[in-house]
Amino acid sequence: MTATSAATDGPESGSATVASRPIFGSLAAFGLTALLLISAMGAYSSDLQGSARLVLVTSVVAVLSPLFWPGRAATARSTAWRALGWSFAASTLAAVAILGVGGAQGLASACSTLLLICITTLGVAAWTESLLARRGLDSAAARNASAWLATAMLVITGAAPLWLGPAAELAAVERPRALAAVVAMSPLTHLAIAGGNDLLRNQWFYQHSNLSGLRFDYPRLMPVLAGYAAVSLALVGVPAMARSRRTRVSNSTSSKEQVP
Amino acid sequence: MIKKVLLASLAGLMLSSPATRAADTMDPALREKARRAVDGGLHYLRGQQQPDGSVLNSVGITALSLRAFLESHRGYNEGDGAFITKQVEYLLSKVNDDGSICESLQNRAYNTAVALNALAATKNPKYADVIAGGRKFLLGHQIDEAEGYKPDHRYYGGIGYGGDERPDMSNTYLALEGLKAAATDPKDPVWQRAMVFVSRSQNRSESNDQSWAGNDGGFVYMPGWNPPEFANGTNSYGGMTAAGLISLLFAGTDKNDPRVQAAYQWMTTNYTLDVNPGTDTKHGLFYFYNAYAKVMAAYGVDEFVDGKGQKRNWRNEFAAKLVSLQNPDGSWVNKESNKWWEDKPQLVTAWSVIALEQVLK
Repeated sequence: MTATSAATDGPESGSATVASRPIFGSLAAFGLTALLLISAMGAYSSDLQGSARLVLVTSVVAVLSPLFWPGRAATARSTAWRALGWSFAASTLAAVAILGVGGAQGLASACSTLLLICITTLGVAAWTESLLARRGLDSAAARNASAWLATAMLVITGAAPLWLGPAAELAAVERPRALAAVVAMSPLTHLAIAGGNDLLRNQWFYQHSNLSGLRFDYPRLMPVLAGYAAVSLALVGVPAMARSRRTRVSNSTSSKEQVP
Repeated sequence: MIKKVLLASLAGLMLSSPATRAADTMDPALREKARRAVDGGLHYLRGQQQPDGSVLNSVGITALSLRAFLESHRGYNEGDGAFITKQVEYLLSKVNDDGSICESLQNRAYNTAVALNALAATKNPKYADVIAGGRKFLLGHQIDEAEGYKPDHRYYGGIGYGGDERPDMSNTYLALEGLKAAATDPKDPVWQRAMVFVSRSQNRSESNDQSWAGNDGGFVYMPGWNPPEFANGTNSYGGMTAAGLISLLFAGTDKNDPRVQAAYQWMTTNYTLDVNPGTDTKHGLFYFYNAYAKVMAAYGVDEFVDGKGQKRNWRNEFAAKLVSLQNPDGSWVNKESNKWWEDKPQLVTAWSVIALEQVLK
């Protein structure tokens, strides 16, 4: 599902104009799929409260984001910019989808959280893609595999309150904080607290999660955002900055060598 | 002659006091045991207070604990010291701009409602503004046209936990209790709207327009649905029937109203204190005890005949049951279910003390 021809673009190759077509194509497909899925999942139903709509829209966009992203670019710096741009586009898409039905309280907060979740997920995808490419996988296969892996990671951690809930309930007998830990590890929880939604007491979760009847505390939003920012920086920012620094050092050495 | 008038006045006063009414039908030895159990529970709760006055860092549990102290036979009030005033201060420190009283995103309506009860129980006019703010929050939280719901929607008139708009019978009852404590005008439309939701949660097809409604007169958690823990479809059960019946009474529904009669009939027919009636489980058992004691005290009938034709005195049996379940340290806890926080002795103790206080009224 990922775009296949964007990995080689970059300032060095001079092919930015050529690569922009598949990027915009992927973006259009991403937007269309997200909107269709959001509608199909009942985001515009009158039964759904504003905060739950925020969670639904942002979570759908977050899950689809790595599947459609065009993969890493030729340089770490370009990859960083691409991840930022793609995440920004994803957040804008979610905001537009919400604003289309009159907006909701907590929109800015939820979209900011979505932005950071997307950067982190795309950072994981780019890192995995690079790892797989180094292991000899061809670039298209590495891109597809990394996209699916990043998506799977997001879905598995997002659904942790459901599938880890029973284990957490057992563990809570001796470690009461196990419940809060399982709730806190889910990106879905993060989107919910950003959107002001009591996630586990929503109708669906109340029916399907064993945690809804137990005592747990949601994490506070600011430390969560700080955590995402730190991981994003480590996955996307640091490699880009390190590459730039190496390039500067290399250029500087070359110019010194040229001095007669 | 003067002596006769004085004696007659004294007798009249005694007969009209609620304590005397309870004493009339209650075994004096059990009453004494119940009082001691309350003392033990309050002693336990006092030991659970954090330096900031909170219990378990929870507005809800602190408010219930505070209410337990203020409504006890000991007649505690803010003049009795820091163990009361610190709890009040903790609640006041959690008042939010929107009027809600809550420490977190969770359970905002629930916490606000129980905090209103506790603050109202202080009878201190200083908190009138906070109570008014909380009342406004709860009124705004009711599902109605303001949220885009029409009266024919099954959610209409209900109130949920607070972080979402999914209403249920439990939160609706607690919110109505909070609104009543906050002296909400009986003519306020909130009561009528709430009655739409309450009626739709009752298994009584004559007054419930939902297709699933049965006819035993009991209540479910929310229209067409019960928590999966009970695995009982849309069958009525004790906790919610007590919540539904007391909601009807809070809204000023006459005791002769067929909805009230049907719910009371269900309560007496399915009477048991061993499980949550209508289920085979002990999930939500202490919630049931708390709501049951409140509704039976409010209904005002001490003796009835249960579904097996056995004559019952609920005050005696209820007091005996709770006294038997108290732990040596004065606490109560649900040892067989952790659902809905009943594994937290602080919460269950506060509920149990409040329930016993209803018995002793």
